[in-house]
Amino acid sequence: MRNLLIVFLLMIWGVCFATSTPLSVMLPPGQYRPLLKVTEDSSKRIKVESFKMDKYPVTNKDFVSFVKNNPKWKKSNVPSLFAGSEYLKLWKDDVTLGKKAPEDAPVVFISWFAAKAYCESKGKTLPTEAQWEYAAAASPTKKFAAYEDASFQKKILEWYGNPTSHPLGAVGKNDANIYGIYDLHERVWEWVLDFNNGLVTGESRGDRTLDQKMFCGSGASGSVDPGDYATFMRYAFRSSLKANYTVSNLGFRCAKELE
Amino acid sequence: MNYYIFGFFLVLFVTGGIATAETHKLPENSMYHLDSKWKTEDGNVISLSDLQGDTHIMTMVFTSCEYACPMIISDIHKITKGLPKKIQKKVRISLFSFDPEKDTPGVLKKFSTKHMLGSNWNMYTSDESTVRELAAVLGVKYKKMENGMFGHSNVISIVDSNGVIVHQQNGLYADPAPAIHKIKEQFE
Amino acid sequence: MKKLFCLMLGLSMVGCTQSNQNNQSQKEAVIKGEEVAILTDAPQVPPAITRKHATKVIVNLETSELKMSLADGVEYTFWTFGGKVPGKFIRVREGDLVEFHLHNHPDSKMPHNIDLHAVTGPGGGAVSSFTAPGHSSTFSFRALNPGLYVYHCATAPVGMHIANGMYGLILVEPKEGLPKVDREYYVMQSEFYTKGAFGDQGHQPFSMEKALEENPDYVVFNGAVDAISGEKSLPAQTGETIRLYVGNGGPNLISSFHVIGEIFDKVHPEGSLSTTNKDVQTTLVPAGGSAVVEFEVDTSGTYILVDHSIFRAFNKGALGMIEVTGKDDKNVFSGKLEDKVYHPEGSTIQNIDEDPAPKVVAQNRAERLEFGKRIYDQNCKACHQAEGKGLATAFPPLASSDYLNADKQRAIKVILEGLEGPITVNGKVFDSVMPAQRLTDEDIANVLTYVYNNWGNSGQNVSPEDVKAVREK
Repeated sequence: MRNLLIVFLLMIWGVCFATSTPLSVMLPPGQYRPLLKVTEDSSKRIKVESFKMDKYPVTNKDFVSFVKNNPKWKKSNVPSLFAGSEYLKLWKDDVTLGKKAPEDAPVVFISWFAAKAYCESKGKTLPTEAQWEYAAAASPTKKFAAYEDASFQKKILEWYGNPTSHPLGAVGKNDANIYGIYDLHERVWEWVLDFNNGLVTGESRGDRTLDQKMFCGSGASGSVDPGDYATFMRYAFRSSLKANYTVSNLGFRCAKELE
Repeated sequence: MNYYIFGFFLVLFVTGGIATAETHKLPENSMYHLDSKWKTEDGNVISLSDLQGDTHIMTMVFTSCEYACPMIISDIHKITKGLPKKIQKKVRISLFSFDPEKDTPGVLKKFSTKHMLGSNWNMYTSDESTVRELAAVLGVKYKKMENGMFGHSNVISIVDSNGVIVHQQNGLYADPAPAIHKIKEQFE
Repeated sequence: MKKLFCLMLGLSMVGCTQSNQNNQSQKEAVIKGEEVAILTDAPQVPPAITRKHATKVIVNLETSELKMSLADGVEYTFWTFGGKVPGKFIRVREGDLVEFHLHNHPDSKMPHNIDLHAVTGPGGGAVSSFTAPGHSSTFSFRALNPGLYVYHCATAPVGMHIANGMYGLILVEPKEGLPKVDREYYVMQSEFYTKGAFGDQGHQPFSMEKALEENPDYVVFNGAVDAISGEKSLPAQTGETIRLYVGNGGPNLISSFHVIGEIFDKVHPEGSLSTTNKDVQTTLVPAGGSAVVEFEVDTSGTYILVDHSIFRAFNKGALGMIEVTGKDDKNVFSGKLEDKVYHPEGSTIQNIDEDPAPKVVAQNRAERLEFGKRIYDQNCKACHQAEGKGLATAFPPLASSDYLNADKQRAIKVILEGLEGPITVNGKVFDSVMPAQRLTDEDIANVLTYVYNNWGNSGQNVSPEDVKAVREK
């Protein structure tokens, strides 16, 4: 009986191991600091359960093989509802990369729908904003560098301050963060599953309080740390997006909830 | 024999043709491209694309909402009341729930009865991923709060028979006139 | 909107009512035709509007993020409206219906939007124009109130978008037009907060700490040090009337705008064209505000535009120039007529010629350099700048200076006696005055040795004996 159980456990372990790609890492459960207050208490943190996240952003090469297997997502097939006219703009054609889209560079000009479909085809999902922000708060040496380490914040801010130029370089060339994840910063913006959760109007100065006419919602609003410019910029960026938008410096990576 | 084969191919061609023709009929920006399954308040499973053919007023709500959702419904009433009787009967109102957990078909049914929603109103519920996709298409921003409520933007969309959003009314208490005008256009 | 506000408060102030009548008539102004707005980069201003009716004006403005020069050898990544800082000048007429198209360049890293202070409506258009990279937004508004208005980006974090250069001016001409003048220029002041100090070379990223402390490294006109000085001075002829459209993008500082050697004949303070102040020396231009100033230039020469919070002008770059040429009116200004020695209280008290005893004497070259730097910082730096780079066409450079390196004795003499009149330094002509410095032989030896041994100079040493020799000649 006991032997049977062990065999059974081993099988489960084997299955898990086989299905999980070695290119993702497990993050421990923890808490992250939201940009906007969730309650009047600005020290309030949001709990994040343990989850897996891809080490690297999805590359052009990855995405070529995806569209080959899922012709629905080829440039020439996808309806504008799912991706704007600039979809995979740097590619030469449906399945050929252009000079400006090296194989190992993050895929950009990608819509939320396409990114979501890619992750789902791998049995994964896009990371939620909470998961992404939680992972991205870490520097190579600290879990919560984004809240504590001014030099880390400054470095991110400097990247945000510079325009993008193509071709982008290969993924995985910078240092990994403490969890072993690469390129969350200083490469491309990344889609999150709930990019459209921002209850802001684009009128950033009025967004200290929730516009009750535009948004149904209760309780507190306003930012936890008005000096956290890097996070502000990510939220502003996300809130400027629609699901079929494709942008020159916006890519994605996948994550997976633990069952 | 040859005729049989020919006949077989003919059938194949015709049926295949119909299927493609149908999807191709949809404009590129039609929301009915979404592969999206929902349950009605009566527990029937439908595809979003089943709504094709009618003009819809669409919005997203959740039934435990205390503040804005009743206001949205009253804003929709303001729109429908401004329509000629004939159109009032033809336009369909579809409310999609944010809340896969609490808003079961039964709960939707109760809500519908309580608010005396007419026969051309329908309520729909689905899973989280489907809700997120529809919200993305309708341009609705939302977020689940810690207390189980949803913060969301108030958007009423007028959707034509092909699934193209032809007008959006943003925010509560907006002037219903532009929406009324757009709906009337659909029936001209 | 304004009307509503008045009614709600139950106010019946005259000003309010009048403005309402005006707004009412502007709202109802008949729109005839359509045109695409001519937009210009500073310091140019689009031509005056001659039409006598309201029209639909189409404005196309592109936001882009570009690496450009902030000062000699200093690069900055500017976020711009139209590829330059400040943004394009927009000129419309009261009553016009403005159809605004904001295009965000695909290579932008940020979403952007625009808040025009000339707009009556939520956010000045900020929400309606919020645009992701590679997208365009359109909205329209009626230009109800004449005036000179600032526009800027209002995307979070607003401060950073403004600090990086996202502002410009929109002029709403009154329906009767503005009086004709000979020249119009567009001048906009703003500050930059960089990681390095003023003049630190290379690409300088934005410093959030300094922005929060409101302690800029650069305060400039038209987006860069020397953007309107030297060869790029604003030209004018004597006898002409000049109108400056002056804006202040901030993000933080209020400008005390002044033109050295001019009195503003007219100022429309805060950009309000219905208000005119006369005979003004210095006018305040608030952050996110403007002023229109007019003056006639009678005498040729260089008129220097400054923020009269004067350290900003001489140490942070807030300096521009109007170069006036033509016939002088000696009646207005004579120029220097005579120069003679001045003896206060008769001529009984003579200048004390003896050098005060030097407190510390340099014992070696290292000390000479160290003391020399102190002398430099106290006596020379304000004009010749920290790295000896000089300033505009006013103060010649001491760094890699051919004039300096060519002749040690001459250099000593200049410090002892001062220098006046044109000299050529590194191929550029400078024509200004350096006063004689009251320094000891020891001090002069130290400071010259310091200068000669820095910034690419010849490395010569100067001893107190060298100075003494020149002094006694």
